[in-house]
Amino acid sequence: MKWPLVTGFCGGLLIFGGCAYLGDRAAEIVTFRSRKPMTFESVKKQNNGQLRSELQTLQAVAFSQFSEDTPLELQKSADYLESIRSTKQPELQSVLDLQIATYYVEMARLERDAGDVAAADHHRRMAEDILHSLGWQDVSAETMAKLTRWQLWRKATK
Amino acid sequence: MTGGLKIALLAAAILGLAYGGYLGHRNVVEIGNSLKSIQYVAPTKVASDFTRTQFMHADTDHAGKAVIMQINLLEQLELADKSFHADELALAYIRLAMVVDAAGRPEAAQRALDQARLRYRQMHSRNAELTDDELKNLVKQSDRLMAGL
Repeated sequence: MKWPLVTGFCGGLLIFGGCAYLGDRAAEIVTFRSRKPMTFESVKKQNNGQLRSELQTLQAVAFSQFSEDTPLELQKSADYLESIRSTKQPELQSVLDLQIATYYVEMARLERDAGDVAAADHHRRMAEDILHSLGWQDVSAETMAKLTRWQLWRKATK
Repeated sequence: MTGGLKIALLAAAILGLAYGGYLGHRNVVEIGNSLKSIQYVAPTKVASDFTRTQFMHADTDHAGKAVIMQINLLEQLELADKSFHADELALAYIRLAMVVDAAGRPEAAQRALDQARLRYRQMHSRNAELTDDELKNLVKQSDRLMAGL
């Protein structure tokens, strides 16, 4: 049977479109995997990879700040940072510690607002201990609240 | 189906794959270049926030360690990737000067201020040279601005 010209043209167009879509997706996946953006490839040889490792740790801290503002999610973020802390240099451990303390301060605030005074006190004390270890003299509630102001501002503007 | 039609459909498939492949590759290269240029924003901001917080609240020993960590990070990044501009180094050196001055090391403070002035001049080549006090005021103004937000 001979196909009419129009049917053949439409079939060719459909095949072209379908293959173009498949080619686009495949090329995106292959190119993305080979280029690896946001993985600091260009600095991987610096200091035997130490600079790259530092950047990845700081990026992990930045990404952890996108956790939801609930005690459970903040605890997960704090636990994650705690889990990667032991393998890092002391300077980076301090960065992680400050972020963990920030999460505890925020958790204490949420727990106090929810009426869970015991949990709030527990997390406030944990934050105080960390901040003392970071050389803070003044760990009053007012000073510690300044830690979370940025988080609240960021979430308010989302 | 005729032989001619088969060849035409096969050509349509090959052309589609090639065109789609080209578009997909080009899109990811463009996105990748954008991401590469902003990949340092988040880590350097975390380091900067940490330094500022420690500078404002911690003792001189801990504040000094935080500032040195930030300076090392920015200087290494600048060396490793020429596309990165360490604009925050001027403020970091001023903070270092203020910390070591508070720790009773005026000569080290002066060296840090000289570094800060050099960095500041590189960033603002048309501006007149700032005095030590004017440089320190930059940090104070910056911190006041951040605290007031």
